Amino acid sequence: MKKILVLIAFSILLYGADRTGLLERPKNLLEKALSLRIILNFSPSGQTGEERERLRKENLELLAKIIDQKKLLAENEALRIQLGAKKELAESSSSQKLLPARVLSLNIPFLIIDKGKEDGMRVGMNAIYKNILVGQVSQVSEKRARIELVTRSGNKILAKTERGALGIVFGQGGGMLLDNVPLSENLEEKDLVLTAGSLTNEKGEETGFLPNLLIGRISEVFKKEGELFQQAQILTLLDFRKLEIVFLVI
Amino acid sequence: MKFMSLLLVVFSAALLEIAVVSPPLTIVVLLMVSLYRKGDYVFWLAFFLGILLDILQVRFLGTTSSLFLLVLFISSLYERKVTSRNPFFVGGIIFLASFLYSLLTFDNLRLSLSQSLWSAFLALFLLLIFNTLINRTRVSLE
Repeated sequence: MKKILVLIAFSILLYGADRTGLLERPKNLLEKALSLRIILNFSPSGQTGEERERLRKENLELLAKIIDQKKLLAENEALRIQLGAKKELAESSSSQKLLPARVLSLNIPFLIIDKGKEDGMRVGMNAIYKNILVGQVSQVSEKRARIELVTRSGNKILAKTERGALGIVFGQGGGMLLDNVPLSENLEEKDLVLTAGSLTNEKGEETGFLPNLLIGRISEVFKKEGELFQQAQILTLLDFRKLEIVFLVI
Repeated sequence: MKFMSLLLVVFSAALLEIAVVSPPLTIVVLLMVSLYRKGDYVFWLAFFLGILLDILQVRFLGTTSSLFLLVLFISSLYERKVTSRNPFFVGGIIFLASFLYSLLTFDNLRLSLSQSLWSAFLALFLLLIFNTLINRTRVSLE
């Protein structure tokens, strides 16, 4: 019983130390050690040791080339789409640069990407794909970063519809809700919803979403007479589960 | 050998949780292991797997291990009062543990509830398999 209490205390101590940044170096070392490459070791029988070794090396090189080629093709496709979308983004924010990042894992409502502090990542950066807002960087380590998806419950985004109605988008886990839209504004199904600039959260920090990024499309409007505001359900335009690459706005 | 296969199962659960599935698979497996095998090593496993998950999922170190250990600690307190392999105890403790873990991780009540339900069903399914295997072994020994 004592051991478990000591371990709990030690874990809490670790948490405190990491929050204050004291564990940055050992954490980076651990992260590097864990970033191991898994290599398939296949060795058919009937070959000499030397020949087997040569074939193994050749096989690995070819395998690496195929993987690289597949990655390049996927990256090119994503870049091509993003380039088209960047023209639109450029109109609203001329100084923005995009950093592509591969999605390592998805654990809704979070994404882990392969870019970290050493690539210039920082907390608060916007992640997009084809001008559609994916989310915001919430934590960064040396080689990886964690992105909170736009649909995450508790997220608040200042938004506007394509007809110009202003409101606040609330993440609801699976979907999103556009709220605080005055009844006098016109909300229609299938209207696009875009970001309208930054908003401050409960801690008083700026959430920092760039303007004119697509959030989603209105699927249902809730209007009640006698109420001050109307609401609308928003569906995201992306299937986050299929994302392989995202772009970070620097 | 048994310990190695146990390690393999727990690590596979952690890797699945990191890469593929959202329900808190690791804590479910750890709790099930703690119900069937006694020893301090479950706590050490929980601690190291928590650290592994924190590094790979870019969280502050100690977040997951504290949660895992806290859940195992609470479970071990009640385990002495209730028959530990009782389906109600197993389903209940796994539901509560997953709910707590998911709520702190995802900050979403609906998602946490659905994930906890899945975890509880998975645990009951595992319990059924374990109990059947144990009973069969007993019968064949007799």
